[in-house]
Amino acid sequence: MATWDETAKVLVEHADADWEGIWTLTYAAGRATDDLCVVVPMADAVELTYAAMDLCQAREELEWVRPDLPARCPAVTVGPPDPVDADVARDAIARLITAALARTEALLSCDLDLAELACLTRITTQLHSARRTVHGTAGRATTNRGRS
Amino acid sequence: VNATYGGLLAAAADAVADANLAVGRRRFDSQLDAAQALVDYHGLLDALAGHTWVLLTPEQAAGVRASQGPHRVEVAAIAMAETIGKVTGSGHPHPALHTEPVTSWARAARCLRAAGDLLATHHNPGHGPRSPDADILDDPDVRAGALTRLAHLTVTLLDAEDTLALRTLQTGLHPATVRRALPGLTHIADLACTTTSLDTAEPAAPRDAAGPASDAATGLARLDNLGLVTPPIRTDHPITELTDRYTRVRLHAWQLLENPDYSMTTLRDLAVLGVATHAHTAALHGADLTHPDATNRQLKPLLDRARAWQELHHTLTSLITAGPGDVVVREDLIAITRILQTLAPITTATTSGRGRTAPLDRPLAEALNGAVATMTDIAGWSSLTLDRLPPPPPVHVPGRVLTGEQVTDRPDLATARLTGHLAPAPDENRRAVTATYQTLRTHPFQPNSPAHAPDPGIDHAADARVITRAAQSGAR
Repeated sequence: MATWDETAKVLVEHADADWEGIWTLTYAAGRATDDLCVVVPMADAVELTYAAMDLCQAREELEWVRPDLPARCPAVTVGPPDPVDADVARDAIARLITAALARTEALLSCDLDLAELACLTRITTQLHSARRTVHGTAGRATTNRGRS
Repeated sequence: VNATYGGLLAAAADAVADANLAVGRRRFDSQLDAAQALVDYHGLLDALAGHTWVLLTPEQAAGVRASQGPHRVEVAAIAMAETIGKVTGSGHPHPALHTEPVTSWARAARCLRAAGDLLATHHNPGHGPRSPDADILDDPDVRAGALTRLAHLTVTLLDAEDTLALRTLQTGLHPATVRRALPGLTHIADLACTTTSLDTAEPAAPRDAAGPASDAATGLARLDNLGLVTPPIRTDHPITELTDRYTRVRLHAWQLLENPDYSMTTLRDLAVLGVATHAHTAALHGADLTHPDATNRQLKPLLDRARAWQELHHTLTSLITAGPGDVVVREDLIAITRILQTLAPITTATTSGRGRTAPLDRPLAEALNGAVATMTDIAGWSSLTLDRLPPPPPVHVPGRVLTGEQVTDRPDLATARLTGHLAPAPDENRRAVTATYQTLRTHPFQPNSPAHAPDPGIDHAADARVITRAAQSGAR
């Protein structure tokens, strides 16, 4: 069975630089974060729950602008959680978020209407916040909380 | 400071004691002062009678009068209020309300009227509920306790009648005026004494719903802690801010019952709050959260509860609905988690295996224990909110996340899985969420936790009552 890291690499490689690609990467990152929450100690789980919340919200922001995304995009997950190495799992999630951020940045240079522009700015904030949390030190992470 | 019902009643009692003391110790400076005192004294009597009708609605009073076995405290309280009404007159507003409060009696009357207004904010004009605490006075024992307290206040006030008559006469006010204002109110005092002498915990007739005295005390404490329905969020101190925000989240979670926003986002945010609340409370009490197996046995229920909320969040993440989330809940969630990270960090100064080394911050512990109880309430309401999402099923999952087992014998789900379209959430997903909510709706430290009971705490009768009351709220 492929590890999270391997699956994340494949996803990052194949996801397009468009709305669908961002949705797929955000979905995968959110599910992975949620899965990881269940197996890590509570000190890390609380912080990761905040990150999952941010990722969920970022995905929903995308769906408000493009309601058809959940139906059209591949809802891929990185597989069952592996509690052996949480750091590797964190890296895999961070990789997915970074890829989503890169595609968001690329999309910003396209022809967009105001609603799409606003959506991308919001999800950029949420993705940054989530990535910071995922990379945070266990139990001492400063979450979210780029939305002050 | 956000006022509470108990705080206002205590302020009224203090003011009455002050006024009684002052009138006993020294003469009035002038006839004007004496006249003002007489007016304020009557104003307070009027406020006491008025507050009785706040605690007992006209419909409830009619029921008491018509009942074969009414609660004796309520009968006595009604008699007291009606007798006071005959003395103070039926003109409204009372003349004492036309002037700024000068004497402590007037201040007491203002506190009492404010307490009545505070209770009124929990109901709409049709007496339907506007908050989850609107039903507090539906408990006859709590109502009787509150009426008894009011009678005590009346007895204290009437103790000063003779002294007040003496002081007013000393200023040269016409004796007829004094006699008209203070004709001898001992008959009211007798009625008030009758009210106070009755055992509030003991009903006049056997009733199935009669609870023990401790239940009445708990209900009275709940009544005393009652504040405004929508108090402002105090940001001057983090613990008060924490309490205010939890109160607001609780209200919004309750309001979702009748006004569902058709959103999983709010339910998910509440689940995140559940995780944070229980984990940070455990951390505050010294739980070591950095190792899965290093949990203090006494704090295990809290961590189990945090895990249950987390699993709930995990399940809810896969469900999709059309509505946006509640922005107020989200705002409060972010503020609360920030405060918790500061006041009750997950990694505290602990000694391995011996819990926390720093002394416990008791006000914070009190606030967080209240938050745990709040989350227990919220779990029950959220479960009902999910159940009440109307048909056609508005809860969906992406077709691609369906398992092979789930699509077996379900052509619609199989199609959704193949095409990637949204599919109605399988019943088992909703059942999983409901089952977790049922576990969470009991307090983690409640004795005989129904977590292991055959029926995990599902009180359908209670659910029906909650829904009915919320429906009344929405209908008005």
